[in-house]
Amino acid sequence: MEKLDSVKNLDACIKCSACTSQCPVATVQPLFSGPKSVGPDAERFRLEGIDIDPQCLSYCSNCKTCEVTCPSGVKITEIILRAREKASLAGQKSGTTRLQVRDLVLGRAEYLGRLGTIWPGLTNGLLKVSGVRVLMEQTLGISRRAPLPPYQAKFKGIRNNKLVPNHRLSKAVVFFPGCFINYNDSLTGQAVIKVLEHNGYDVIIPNFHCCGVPLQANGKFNEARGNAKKNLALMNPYLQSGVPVITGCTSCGLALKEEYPNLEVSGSELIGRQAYDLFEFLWLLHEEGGLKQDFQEIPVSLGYHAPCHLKAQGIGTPVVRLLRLIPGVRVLDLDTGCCGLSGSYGYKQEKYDIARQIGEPLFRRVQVGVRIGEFQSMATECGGCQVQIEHGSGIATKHPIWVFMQAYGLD
Amino acid sequence: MWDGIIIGGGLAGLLAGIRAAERGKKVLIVSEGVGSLTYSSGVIDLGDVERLMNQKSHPYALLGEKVVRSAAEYFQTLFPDYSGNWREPQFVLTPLGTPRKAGLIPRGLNTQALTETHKIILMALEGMKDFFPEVARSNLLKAYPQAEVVLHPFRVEGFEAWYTLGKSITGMDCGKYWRTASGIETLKGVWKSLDSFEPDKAVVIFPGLTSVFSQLLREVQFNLPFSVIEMTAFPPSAGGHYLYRGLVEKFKALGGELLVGSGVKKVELKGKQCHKIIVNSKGKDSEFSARVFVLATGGIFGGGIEVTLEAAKEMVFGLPPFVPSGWTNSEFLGEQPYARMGVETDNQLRPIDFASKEVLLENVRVIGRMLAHWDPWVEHCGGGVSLASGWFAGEQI
Amino acid sequence: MQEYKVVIVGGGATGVGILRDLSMRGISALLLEQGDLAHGTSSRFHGLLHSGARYAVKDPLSAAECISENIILKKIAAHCISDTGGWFVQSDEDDPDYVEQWIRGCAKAGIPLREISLSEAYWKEPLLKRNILRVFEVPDATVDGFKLVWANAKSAKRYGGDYKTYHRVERIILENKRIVGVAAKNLLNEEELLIGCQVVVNAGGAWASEIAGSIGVHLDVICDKGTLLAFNQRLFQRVINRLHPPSDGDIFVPHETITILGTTSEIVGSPRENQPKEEEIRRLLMTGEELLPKIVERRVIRAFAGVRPLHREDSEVSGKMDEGREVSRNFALIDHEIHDQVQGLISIVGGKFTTYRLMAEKVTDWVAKRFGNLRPCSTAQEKLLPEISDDLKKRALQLLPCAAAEKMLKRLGEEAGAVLLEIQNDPRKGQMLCECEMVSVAEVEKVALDADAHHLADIRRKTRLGMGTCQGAFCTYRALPLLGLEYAKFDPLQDELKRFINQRWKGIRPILWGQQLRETELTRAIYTSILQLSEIRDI
Repeated sequence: MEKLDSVKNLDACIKCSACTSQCPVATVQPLFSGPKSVGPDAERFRLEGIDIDPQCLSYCSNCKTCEVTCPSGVKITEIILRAREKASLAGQKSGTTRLQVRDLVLGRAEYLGRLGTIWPGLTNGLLKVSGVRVLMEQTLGISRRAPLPPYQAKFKGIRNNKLVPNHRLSKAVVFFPGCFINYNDSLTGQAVIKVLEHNGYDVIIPNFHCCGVPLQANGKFNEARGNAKKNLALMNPYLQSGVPVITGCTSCGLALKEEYPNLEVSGSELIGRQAYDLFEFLWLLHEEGGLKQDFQEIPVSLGYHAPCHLKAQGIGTPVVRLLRLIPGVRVLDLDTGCCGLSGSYGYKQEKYDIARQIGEPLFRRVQVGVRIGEFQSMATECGGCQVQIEHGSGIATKHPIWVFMQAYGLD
Repeated sequence: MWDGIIIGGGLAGLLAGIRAAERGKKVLIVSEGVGSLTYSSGVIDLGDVERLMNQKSHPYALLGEKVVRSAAEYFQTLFPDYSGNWREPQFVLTPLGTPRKAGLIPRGLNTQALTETHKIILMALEGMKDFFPEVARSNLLKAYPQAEVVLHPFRVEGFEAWYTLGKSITGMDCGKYWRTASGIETLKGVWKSLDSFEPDKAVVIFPGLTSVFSQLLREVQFNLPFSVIEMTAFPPSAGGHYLYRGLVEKFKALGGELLVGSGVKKVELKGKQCHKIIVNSKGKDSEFSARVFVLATGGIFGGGIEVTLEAAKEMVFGLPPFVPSGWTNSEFLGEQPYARMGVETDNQLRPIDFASKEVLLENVRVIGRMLAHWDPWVEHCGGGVSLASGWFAGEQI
Repeated sequence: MQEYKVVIVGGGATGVGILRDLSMRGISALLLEQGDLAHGTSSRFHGLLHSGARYAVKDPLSAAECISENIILKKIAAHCISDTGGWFVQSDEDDPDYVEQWIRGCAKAGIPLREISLSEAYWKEPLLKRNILRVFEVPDATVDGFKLVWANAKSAKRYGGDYKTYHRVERIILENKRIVGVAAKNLLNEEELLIGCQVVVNAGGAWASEIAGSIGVHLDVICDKGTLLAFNQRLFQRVINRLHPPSDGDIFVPHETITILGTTSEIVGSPRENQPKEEEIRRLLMTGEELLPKIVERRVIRAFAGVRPLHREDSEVSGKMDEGREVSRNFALIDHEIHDQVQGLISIVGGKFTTYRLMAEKVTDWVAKRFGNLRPCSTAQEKLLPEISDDLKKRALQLLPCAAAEKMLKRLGEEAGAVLLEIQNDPRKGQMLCECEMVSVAEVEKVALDADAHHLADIRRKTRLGMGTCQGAFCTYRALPLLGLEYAKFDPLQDELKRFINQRWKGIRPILWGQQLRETELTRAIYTSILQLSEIRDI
């Protein structure tokens, strides 16, 4: 993947403001002047050494809607993230110490996860106690109302101590579960493995670290890059043998495709090409005639929400195409904007309301859809979206892989 | 294998996709962005169709009257919220309050009532961006000298935070707001408060209100004792945005798939047939093949044609664009020769070599701004050409 | 009839410099300018505050004058100057002997030099071409011509000096071959104005020979056109010069958010021949490529040209006259009593922006002597604008985003206080009217209400409205209602809009490719389709 020519990138902006008109945050939060303003507009001044208040930059939720909308292909979110990095390197504070500590904590999804899965029962119990949540809000700035997902036993799957013989590598995939599956939803991880195995694939799961997106979003760019390099090192032997890497989470997927190729370590030249969203992979399999279609009929009507980071991957919505292969399944792509959570964004005390307001049209649409009988429940690939949609609309929202589990009779 | 792949998801591309999907075809639209619909407030300009149909090489001339008319009628069947016909232009208000001709217009924009009224009430939401009430008022007085024009400034609670900050309220913010539950309640309140203005005789102009495609807003305006007229807006406009959403929803509901945010990097040709397109998704390239391909990449503005100091290039297939001799004129608002740059086609919209007139790619159709020999701005026919060529291509898939 | 001791014709840097000096010495003076201040050459050059290094070999006298004035101006006009420093860069195609001559020349002229390591150079300026051999740092700086000219005018006003823009001098009135007054026409209302005076200073720059010619006095001024390109971004953080004998396109000058590349040199017949030609632009890009690889991929937002007035006589440097570049850029004072038996007329020709204050001092010395005024010149000591108070800075940062606040303070100085008050009373006025260059509604309003703002272009020069990436696509229609014209008369507003757009268009036409072409399509969409500007009268 080509490295971004930042001069060319900035020059492409023709100031049409389409990005700002579609930005989910700018619509609900007037304190945010919009992606154009803090991105390309401010960038011309940053080159002069005039930096804007990092707090203005902090409103960006990194949903990448602006990049998808831009008619000129400007990487607006990238400009904003770089500006955040520059600000943090220059020692500029984007908030009080308390909030900085909070960002430190929320950025480390992996450590939180490891902590939470030591004794999930206790952790979940504590997180349900409103007093604890109030305390968390006051000390760490994590909103008491935020839909913190419960922890489960850590996702284990098949560890890479089960060696896959070379002659089987052509029917093997590496699975990058992501922190949500790892720490909050191991059952979905198991489901992914079962579906892949059903289609004849061995699934290899090295002990991956967090993909780095939460770290990046919370200003820890070096740590994010460090994680990425460690992950690449774990993937590399398989990448070199042509084994694809499948992600279950669309944010991890975007990171693997967009950020990892920029690291100058072995494997980075391959990861872009060999990283696949789970359903992207299954659809390609189907096009090659390799997808098992021994589906039972599943009479279900689903509403589907495309996560923002899936839209940013530019592969369309392969899961919708796949679901429509299953007899009896009806899928309606709601296409109603961003759910608002944006990873750790919507958990933050000062961002929780913004996140709710952003997702409000989607929640409403979901509720209406169910009420008038258009569909019965929701499906979406991103763990964060699942949590937020359920939280906002009250309607059950699951990973689409479960429909395949049912259809294959594997549940 | 798709039946048709449309490269470019603007007005022309989406209409082609809708028509093809309606005919039962499997259609994929691949688009780098969301097109330029937000620049037009949803108004479809058809231009002086009769005159342009007789203009050499103009897309209207290429396609013929039947296609132009059918496309316009088709659009109206898709979107009954639109009124008008290609023979009789209607008038809409520009953001500065001057009337201007238009072809097909969304509900609420028709200015007919203004020519008959004696009282115009110009709603002026405090803090609206890019709206200048006094300028609009003076233009309305000039255009409708028989009427009194009264400014009606008002504030809306939903934007309290904007007022405190002094942040201007964009047209898009307004458009979205009036469709929310609280927005509708507020609107009902606004209608009530206008009672004191003898509403039976007045016409209310409401900048920022965009009722097209909204059942709820239509209901609120039902049975009002006065006419409500909306205005077009500066880009990015809510009207254009809702038209875009309307087109996308129609397309998806018919089973079409839309891939936004990726561009076509390369194509694979087999002789005079396009076999595959290679799309530049994140990280890797995705391949898609189809029987028919439609090039709807939006010309210079859309990135379909790239002009460097040395040359002009058509970016997907590498087709040779027609480049006009003479590039610019000194009067900015007038004719600018460069704007007529585009790909020349036969009357089936297949790209041809301009010297030999030989068809270059048999299963490719060129539509919209990518066509040569027309200028949407000075000819005021951007919507018309997009609809006509898009509809025609949709029939070909 | 108004009476002044001196009338100055021409409101460029030299003219306002003279106005200030005369006023500070207590001599009553009126400046008449046919356009807006600085609308001539003073707004159409690359904005380089020379260290003099460029002239170290060819024109050592000029080099010495430059470095001396450079230091003075940095002291008195800090708010108009960005002390970026400059580099002279020797590439592998440049003559190494010249480099040695140049180093000696700088030393002789008193221009401090510091050699920089290549690794430091590439780290600080990553876009520089990789074939550089040596880099030297000099005290070049960048100067905002508009700001400096206006600062001089405002300073002069504080001392009782006066100026009138949009007043063209039609006749110089003589009685017995002695100056008694001038007749000028107010171009805004066509009225004639008669001014009585004893001395006329012809500071008309490229128009100087026309002005002298109006009373049959021959003045040889060479009109030398120089074309420049404005790039969309700040590509370099400092001035970048090529270390070779001065030629076309060998200087990059960063100005706030943009970068200027210049310049060319072509003798033309009149000051009005200021249209950039395609061939000049290609040549600039070709030579620019030698310092900035892939230059054609960098977005250019504007091409413009200024006509430099060079004086043919008194040149101490011989060379090819028709190329313009060989004539000295030193200046000449011509006392027309000696030359042409006209008493009371003095012309100042030649020179460069950097030495405007020195030129003004020499002229003022001559005038003062005539009036027996013995007050010494103090223009080098007194700051042009008072310092901006910390309190004002703080208030500005509270009410406006960082960039907008900083820029406004530099433009308005203490006058920014009034703007901030407006914003405090109505926070909406803190919104950006021009988003590309971060100019607030309140600032544009204030400038528009200024007595000197007659056209959108005047507002543009004072605020940078329309000078950024979109070249006025969005801010033009926003500024229109603020022009303060009566709203009942929209026609003048419409004409004004068209005029402004066509002015912007003049500079875009020659560089219409790439992203600026796309921008133009968007602009056309707004004005021809959304506003249907040209059709308004048809209804």
